[in-house]
Amino acid sequence: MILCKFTKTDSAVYTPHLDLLREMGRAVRRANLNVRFSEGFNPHMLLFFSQPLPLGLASTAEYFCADSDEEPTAFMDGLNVKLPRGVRILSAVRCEKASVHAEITHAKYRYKTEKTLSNEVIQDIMSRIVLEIPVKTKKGMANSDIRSRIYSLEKDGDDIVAVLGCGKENLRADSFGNYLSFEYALGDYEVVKEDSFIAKDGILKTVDEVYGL
Amino acid sequence: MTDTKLRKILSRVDKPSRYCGGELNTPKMKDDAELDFLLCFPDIYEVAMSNLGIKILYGILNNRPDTNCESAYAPWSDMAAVLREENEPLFSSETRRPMNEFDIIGFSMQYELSYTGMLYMLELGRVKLLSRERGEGDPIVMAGGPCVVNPLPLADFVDLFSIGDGENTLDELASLYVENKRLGGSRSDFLKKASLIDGVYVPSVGKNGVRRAVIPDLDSAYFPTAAQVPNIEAVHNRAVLEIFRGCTRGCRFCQAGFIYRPVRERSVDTIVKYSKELIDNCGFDEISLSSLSTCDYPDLRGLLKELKPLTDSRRVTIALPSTRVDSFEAEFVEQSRKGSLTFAPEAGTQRLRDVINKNVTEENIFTSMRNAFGKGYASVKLYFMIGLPTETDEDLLAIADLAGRIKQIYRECGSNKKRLTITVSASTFVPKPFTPFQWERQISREEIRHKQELLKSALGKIRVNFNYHNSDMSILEAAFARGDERLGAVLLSAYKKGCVFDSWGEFFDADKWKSAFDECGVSPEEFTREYSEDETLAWSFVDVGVDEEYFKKERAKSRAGETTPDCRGNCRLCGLQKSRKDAFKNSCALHSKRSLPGKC
Repeated sequence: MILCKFTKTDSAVYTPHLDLLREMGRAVRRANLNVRFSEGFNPHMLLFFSQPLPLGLASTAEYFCADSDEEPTAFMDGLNVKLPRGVRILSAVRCEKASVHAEITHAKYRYKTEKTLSNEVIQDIMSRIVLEIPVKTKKGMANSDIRSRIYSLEKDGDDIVAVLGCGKENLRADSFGNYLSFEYALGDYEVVKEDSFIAKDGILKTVDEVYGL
Repeated sequence: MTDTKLRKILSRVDKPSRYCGGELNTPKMKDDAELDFLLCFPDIYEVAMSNLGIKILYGILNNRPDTNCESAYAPWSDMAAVLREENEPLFSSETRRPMNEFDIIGFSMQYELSYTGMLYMLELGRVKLLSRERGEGDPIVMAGGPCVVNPLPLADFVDLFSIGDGENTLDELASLYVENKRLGGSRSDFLKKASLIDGVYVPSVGKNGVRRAVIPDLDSAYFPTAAQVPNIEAVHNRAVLEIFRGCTRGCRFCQAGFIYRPVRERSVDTIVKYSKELIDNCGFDEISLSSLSTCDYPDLRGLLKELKPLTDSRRVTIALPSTRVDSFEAEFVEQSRKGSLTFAPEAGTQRLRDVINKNVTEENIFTSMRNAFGKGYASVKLYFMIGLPTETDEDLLAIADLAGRIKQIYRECGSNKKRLTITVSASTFVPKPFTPFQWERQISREEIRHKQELLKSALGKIRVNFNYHNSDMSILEAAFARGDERLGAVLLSAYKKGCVFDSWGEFFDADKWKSAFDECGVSPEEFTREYSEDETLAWSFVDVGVDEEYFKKERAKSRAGETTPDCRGNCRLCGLQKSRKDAFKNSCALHSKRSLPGKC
């Protein structure tokens, strides 16, 4: 198994998750790299992806595993010349399991807003016990308490940097961004996912640290 | 358009990757191009991206050192609304330039119900809709594709038509444009000179000497093996490789069978070479060996034998569209996924199949079915037409009999546990220009409905799924296929009333079309009636290469129930032997066993 870290930026931010999967599979075929296929009626390439990124959101910390015996660096280099604009493999390592994406518990997002948030507001948000915001659900918009899914909220220069729940305790970065932007009149914003974390014994470690990427 | 503006627009629409560009294999635009060409398709991204024609022309134009070719497709209604609200013109995918800043805007017209899409795009792109209102500094609007063999319904809006194979015509037009620009020539200078190029019709210059362009050889013709890979799933999500152009079968209703003559093939070596390039450059898991009738490729078996090791090793499946599945192909498809089996008998009885010259017998169909059922197929799609010349209710009921017999064969095969699904689709016959049926009438709305009801009840009894077309759409298609200049006003009026995406059922509005026809004092029945063989047909000024006399002869034979065999063995002297000698020598003459008239 090979674990790859990749970007989804530029026009690729508009590529839906399923189409990104197809595109990665096509890139493997274009590069003539060996990846195993599933057995059965409709064999498919064994690629395993981290959970979908909301459409329009950029990321420099996406992951997938490929069931392949290729040398990881050669795999990365081979793919990189066959990928569309905005999708780049940043690093690749051999790994034992295909389910790395299932271990991810948190992700770090950087918001660039037209107006910045004051430190007082950040302290206020973090000091609350309950924070109800409108979030997208299968049945449309509904209010939900998301406080426990905000791990940290800080400023970095004028940017807002938030570590939010990802995976089982997920908080969509765009739902949170829309809330901040509307509630505190921050105007339009851009958001980039910069890191993915795995929580172990209450401590967050980046996927890169855990798997040596 | 700035990145921020684009982001703002795209955040408000469904499937934003239709509009953001960045497709794999998009060529880098040159800084010093002398011709900026915008290639357009009057339907949405997913449909456009499945069209091979525009990929070929896109490649040819971008390979020129003096030309940039960009693309734009019809934005879905949500995007159009946002563009209007934001006061932004329709823009190209590659550099996001407004449509009206391009030198030439070319539309690919693949079906009559996409005509309003052209006006929709021009208006969103802020280009004057009417050709006569455009002047110096305005873009040249051109159109190509199979529909423009009868260019008249679009002549009010289009400055220049490219009729027939576009490969050489577009290249010559680009050269001419650049040369005219260097010499300081005017827009009308360009149009006048362009009208002399083979395959070009310029309505403002006149109807003299308009010929369909025919490339003499396909094997050496350009093929885009590094075409753009769509950002989202297209209608046909596969690589398409054209293995030959044209068809030798001569089905009398089929326009493509006549307007792409003669058959021109790619060699096995070329096809294998291109397949490898397609896999390396595009990476699709399926390659479709495309043509009008793929099983007629002379050495299909040899081709597949050469191709299989390559496609197997790269985990690619081969799709053979438009085929009869005989035993050999059944063996071949065995290894791939068992989807459904598609057949197009077109008519229910042998009598009517002889009338239309669809040379498929019931035995062909049943043999193929037995083969396929033996291999595990449990789903069959059958395509028919209703309203064919001389058709009676008996012919229609025979469709249900045929479906019933197929069910019976399935039971006899008995090896399969799955329930058989049969789907019958019946489209309504549309008489098309440049076919032996170009004079025929189209049946009326009432007749269409009667025939559809008859089939629906007969097929319902034996529990066969039945699909049929909207009758108003078929009538509109007929009117535009055989229409003349009077339809320009109708088209404009319908568009102004809000008609767009007419081929999409949810958008089609028959009442608006009716009032557009009424307003212009034109009746669709003028174009759906039977034409007299003595009258001058509006489209007859275009020389497609096949003689009108040949069409008359074929029509007479159809009425006598006589068939015309495939012309691959024996040339039927349809006219190409005189009118397109180069192409004829390279193709038909090689296949024909009969000695041909001395002149060729």
